[in-house]
Amino acid sequence: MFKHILIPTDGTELSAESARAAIQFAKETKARVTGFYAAADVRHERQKFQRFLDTELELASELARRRKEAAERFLTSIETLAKAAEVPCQIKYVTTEHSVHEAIIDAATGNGCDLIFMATHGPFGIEGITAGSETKNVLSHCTIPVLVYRH
Amino acid sequence: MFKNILIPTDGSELSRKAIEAGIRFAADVGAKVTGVHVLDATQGVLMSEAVSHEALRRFEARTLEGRKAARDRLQEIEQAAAAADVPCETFSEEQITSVCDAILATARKAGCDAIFMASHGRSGAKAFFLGSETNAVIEHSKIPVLVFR
Repeated sequence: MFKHILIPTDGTELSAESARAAIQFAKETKARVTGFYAAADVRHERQKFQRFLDTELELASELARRRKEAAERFLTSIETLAKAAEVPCQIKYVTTEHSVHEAIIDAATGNGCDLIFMATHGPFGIEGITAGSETKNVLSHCTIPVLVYRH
Repeated sequence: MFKNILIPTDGSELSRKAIEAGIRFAADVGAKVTGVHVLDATQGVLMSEAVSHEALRRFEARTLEGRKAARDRLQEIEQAAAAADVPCETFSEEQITSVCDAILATARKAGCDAIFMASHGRSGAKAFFLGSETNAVIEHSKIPVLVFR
């Protein structure tokens, strides 16, 4: 029924678990997957805090660089898992000037995905809370089915 | 991965579509389905008038009517499942506090490992945003929830 599953990741352990489950699910249902990571554009963040000092800007760029590195690591691990499970897989990294949930929905519709498989927030931790709110945002705004995964 | 999928229904147009999709999904992954209807018999009966005989009669009439409607809706699930060769069990629940609680309790009771549910039920006409019961189920469920639109 679902042929192409979008797996958004935010690099948290929770999203990694959800990605593993999504790949298992794709294997069972003979679907393909797209691993996806959206990072907020640092220039956009700068606009949000207009009085960035130069040092802060440097820090922000450094942060963005590390974030991208980390994202690539997460996406590569999704790719490796998918390969091991013989699930066709592509990965996508984007920086977005808008919100992350919009980027996720755009990626799903733009790539022709028919299901978004994402983690819900865990009981603890700030990362969990942000992941959860992003899931909730996706749920409120998107028109394709979303599987809210829990371990 | 999923062996027993809970499909709640309230008889709304979207939940009918969710039944159809949920059964297709179950057939696809080789799972069985558990249908549930939760009757909220208090709907439309104000607490302030619940003491009057007239309100009580209305409550009883609604309950009888509701049970019949629930039976019909669950039968729709049973028939659709049978047509798709998907094993099916159904539960008719009644509650007066929370529909979400009753849905989750049924999931536990029947040993479901996923919930397949429409983004809105009867109350909630907007295309975007989630229905309140769906939202509550996502919030409190311990098993994955597939939100269907």
